[in-house]
Amino acid sequence: MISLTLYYVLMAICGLGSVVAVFLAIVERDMLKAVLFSAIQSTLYAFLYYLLMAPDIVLTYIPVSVGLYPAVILFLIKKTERFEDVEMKKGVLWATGLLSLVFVIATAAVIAGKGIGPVPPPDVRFLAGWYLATTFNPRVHLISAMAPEGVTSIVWDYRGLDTVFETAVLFLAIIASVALMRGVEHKGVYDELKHGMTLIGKTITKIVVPLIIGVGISIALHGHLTPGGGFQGGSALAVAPLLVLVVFSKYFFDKVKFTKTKALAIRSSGLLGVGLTAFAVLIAAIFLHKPAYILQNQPRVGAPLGFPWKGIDGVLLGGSLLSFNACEAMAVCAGFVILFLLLSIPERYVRSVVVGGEEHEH
Amino acid sequence: MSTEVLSFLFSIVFMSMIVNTALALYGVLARPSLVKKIIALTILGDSANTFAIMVGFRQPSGTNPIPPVLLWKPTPSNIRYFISHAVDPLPQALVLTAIVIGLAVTLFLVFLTIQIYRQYGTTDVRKVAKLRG
Amino acid sequence: MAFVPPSPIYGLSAILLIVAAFAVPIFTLFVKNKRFYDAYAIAFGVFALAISISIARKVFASNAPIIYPFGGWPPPLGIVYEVDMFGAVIGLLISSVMFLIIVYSTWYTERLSGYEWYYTLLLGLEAGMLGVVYTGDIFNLFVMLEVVAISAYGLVAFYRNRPQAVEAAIKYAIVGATATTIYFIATIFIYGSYNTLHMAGIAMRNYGYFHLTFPGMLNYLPGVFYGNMLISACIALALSLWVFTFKAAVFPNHFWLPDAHPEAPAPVSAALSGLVVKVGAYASARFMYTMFGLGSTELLNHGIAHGVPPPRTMFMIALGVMGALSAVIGAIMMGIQRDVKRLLAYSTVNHIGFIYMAMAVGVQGAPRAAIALALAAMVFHMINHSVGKSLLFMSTGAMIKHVGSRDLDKLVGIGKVMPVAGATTVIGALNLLGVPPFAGFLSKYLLYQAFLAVGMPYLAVLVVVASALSLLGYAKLIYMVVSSKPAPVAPGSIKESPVVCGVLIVLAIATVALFAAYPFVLKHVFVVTAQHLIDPRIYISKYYEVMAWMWSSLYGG
Repeated sequence: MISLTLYYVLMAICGLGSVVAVFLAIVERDMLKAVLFSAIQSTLYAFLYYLLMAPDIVLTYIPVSVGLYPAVILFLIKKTERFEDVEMKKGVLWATGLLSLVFVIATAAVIAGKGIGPVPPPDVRFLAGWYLATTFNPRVHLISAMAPEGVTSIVWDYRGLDTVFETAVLFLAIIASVALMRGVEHKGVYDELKHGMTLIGKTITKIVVPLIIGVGISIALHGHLTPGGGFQGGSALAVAPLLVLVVFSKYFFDKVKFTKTKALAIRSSGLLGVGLTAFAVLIAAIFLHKPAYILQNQPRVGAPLGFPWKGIDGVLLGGSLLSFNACEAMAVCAGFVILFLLLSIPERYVRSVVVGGEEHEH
Repeated sequence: MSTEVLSFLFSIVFMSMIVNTALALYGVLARPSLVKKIIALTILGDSANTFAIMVGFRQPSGTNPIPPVLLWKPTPSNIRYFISHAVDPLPQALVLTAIVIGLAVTLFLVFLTIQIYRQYGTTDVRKVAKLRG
Repeated sequence: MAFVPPSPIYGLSAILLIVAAFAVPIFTLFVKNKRFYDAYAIAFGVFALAISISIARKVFASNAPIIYPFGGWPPPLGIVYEVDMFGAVIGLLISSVMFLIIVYSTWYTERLSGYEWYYTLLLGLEAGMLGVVYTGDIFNLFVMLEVVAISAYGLVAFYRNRPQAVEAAIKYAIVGATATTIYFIATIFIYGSYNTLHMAGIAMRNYGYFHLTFPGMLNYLPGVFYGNMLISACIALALSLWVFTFKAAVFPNHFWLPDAHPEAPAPVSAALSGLVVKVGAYASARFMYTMFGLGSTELLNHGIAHGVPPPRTMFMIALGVMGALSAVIGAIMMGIQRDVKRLLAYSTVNHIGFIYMAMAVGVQGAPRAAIALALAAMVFHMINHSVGKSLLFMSTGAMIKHVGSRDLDKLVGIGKVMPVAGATTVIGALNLLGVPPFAGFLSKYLLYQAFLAVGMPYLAVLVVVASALSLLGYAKLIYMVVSSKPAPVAPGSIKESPVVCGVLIVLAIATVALFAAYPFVLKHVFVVTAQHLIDPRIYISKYYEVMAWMWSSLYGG
């Protein structure tokens, strides 16, 4: 039992530590420090997710909340202001912080003492039992996703509709950002010596980038077997172009003629791949005059068609999950590239287009 | 005895998330800087997500829980062990969706905030309101 | 008999629209002709309209909801669409008004840079709204609300060179993002306690349908809640109703609307004010009637202690008070506006108030027939307001675009140079004010009758008072058109577009047609819809039937 207690002590430390980090992030006036505290909070949360047996979330959370968020917010601070103009009394602040910690410990004691039963419970909910029983169970093929990764199965199969529209939210956010920056075109001539970091930095990046790409692709394509998936892989992949952007500068992208428009086309192809996978079985079924469902993966009740789930040599293919993950990774990575390219355009060019002017109703 | 200790420690994490949510709400609604609001918004989303994952957590008696990934051959006994030890995959899948959505909204907010700065020269909502008149 | 998959048509509308939106960036690579994007958006608008019509026909013909299980997962495993009459009516409203808005947009986006992105966001907006009304899953509702929200933020900020537009968008977006996160927490509370995310499943538990067990070896409804169901239901309801009243812009959560709606391009204002706020009202009604409705769990309806009203009644009272305040405050604020679009935005606050007042009468103890009448009035008023408000935003949008000002004083006399837009503006204003022979009169009259029947005469008086207060605002609009003062631009310098005239005339005819068809639509559409909304037994039993059928087919039944 000692190791189990230690396990929960670690969780409690993460929880209390995150309260301190959040408190500091919220009251801090210097935004750079606030981002730092927020990154500490994210790291503690990531560790907590690990302890809570959520490796998928850890894999999503580390590239997103520990990597991409701070990078984007640093871009934001660089382009805007660093300090928040607000005066607060130091004493009041510390009192509030201490009180919140006392509140946490006291209410936790009340909850545990009142005896509302063991928290956490020994069993999962009834519905969760069904997901665990059917995620990979060849004996009940008609209600199995035939992929051993429970979370990815839910994400792309059981609740695939949510995920298609979650992808749509990211898509619409990028389109809204592109619309906000419409008409802003800036190209420069890349100069190996003038732009970006030193030659050593560039050489290291040349070595690291293929590694990141390899890791990203493997996270994406093994999503149906091990923790990971399209979004996780795509956001890990996006770190590579971000690194190139920082080390080689934006002009390198101009040199290799990788424009925002091309990235948008790649992104849309990935998204259309997602859409096509959602309808693939249905379309096949229409040609074969058989019934089928939208977002169908494996054969279901009354709908005999399905994606292959097993290769000739017994390798698990994961049915539609593999295709979804591959297309999603492509789309997510390209989406981030678009945003980074937009963010890296020098402000003076942007301002000349998007500020002032007469482009409105009157 | 030990169940109460574990309950207490776990409740601490629960209550921490509630306090973090409250702090983040204060940050979003009451702090003047848009950059601060965005940071607070990410913390709000993360705390809600942690809360969701905790709802799906379990503690099989005496042993450690396992992630919802079936690592063995799908034989009936393996699946039975999996059902009795793995944590709830559904909240994790919902959180994955929520993380992506939160990210999307935050990215657009970043672009809007930069645009606000271009036009008003500040990211302080009080000054923006004053300039707008 | 083995389960036969339902026609994919019933699950198609939202996902097809979003895939259409996905494809737009590829077309931008090699098609530069604006007409192509116009045709593209119209084609998918027609498609969504056709699907909505077929869904509505099917639902009303069979008198039962349609259930579409995505991916072929037997409930409660996957996501289902469950479209009942309420969803079908609002879905049809959304797709028909959106179709007209898209047609109007083909004129509006001339000489607008970035029209391809504009159409993409508009398709996203429509997909999101249809998803909200068709879904039968509370977490899918969260995702669809976000689809609506992100498209709306993008469209409000579309005039990015206008500082006010960007500011309105960020105000809307920050509070909106907070709100949807809070709704996410609410769904987790519900999942934690109810062990399902399906609306019908939640209703089933709330109505105590535990005796419905499965014939055979499996029982999907363990008759237990996890934890304290009353507490989680109350927390989840409080959180989600706050979010929905924010989306619907009910006082005091209306603060973002008078900034956001006017700053958007005119057709987007029409969509936001006419339809998007209704999505919030729709979700509130779905929660308060289908899922946590009359006669649901004893705890929700029978009070915690002696003399204290039960929690559901208290939620209803809160909604009613917020609705009443919105109706009055919206009406008063309309009168003091100088900006024509702001005036219309406050009119939306006023009408959403009426809708929430009607929704709030369904408390335990009130006569059922009267509640049905109130809900029929609510649905009817939602339709009238959508038609009237989108008409007004589009007619005034045409004037604003030609004259170049949103100031009421600068638009005075516009009726002489823009007769069609002028006449339809007058019709729209009279419709919203509630003057015969326009349908707005009938829905307000029906509200009045329903409040009397339910035994709340003070609400009936309030409808009259708030309408009277709003008279000043509508009078300003009408004066702007019919004034004999010289027109703001030289006569003959404006040529009204036939596309715009067509859209405006169709909407104006709709207001009169709804008036003329009143006896028929009231009996065969609104009252039936309201009865199904109050009594979710058919909603639940149809869901149960599909569930049992799918599981029994699975096990060779």
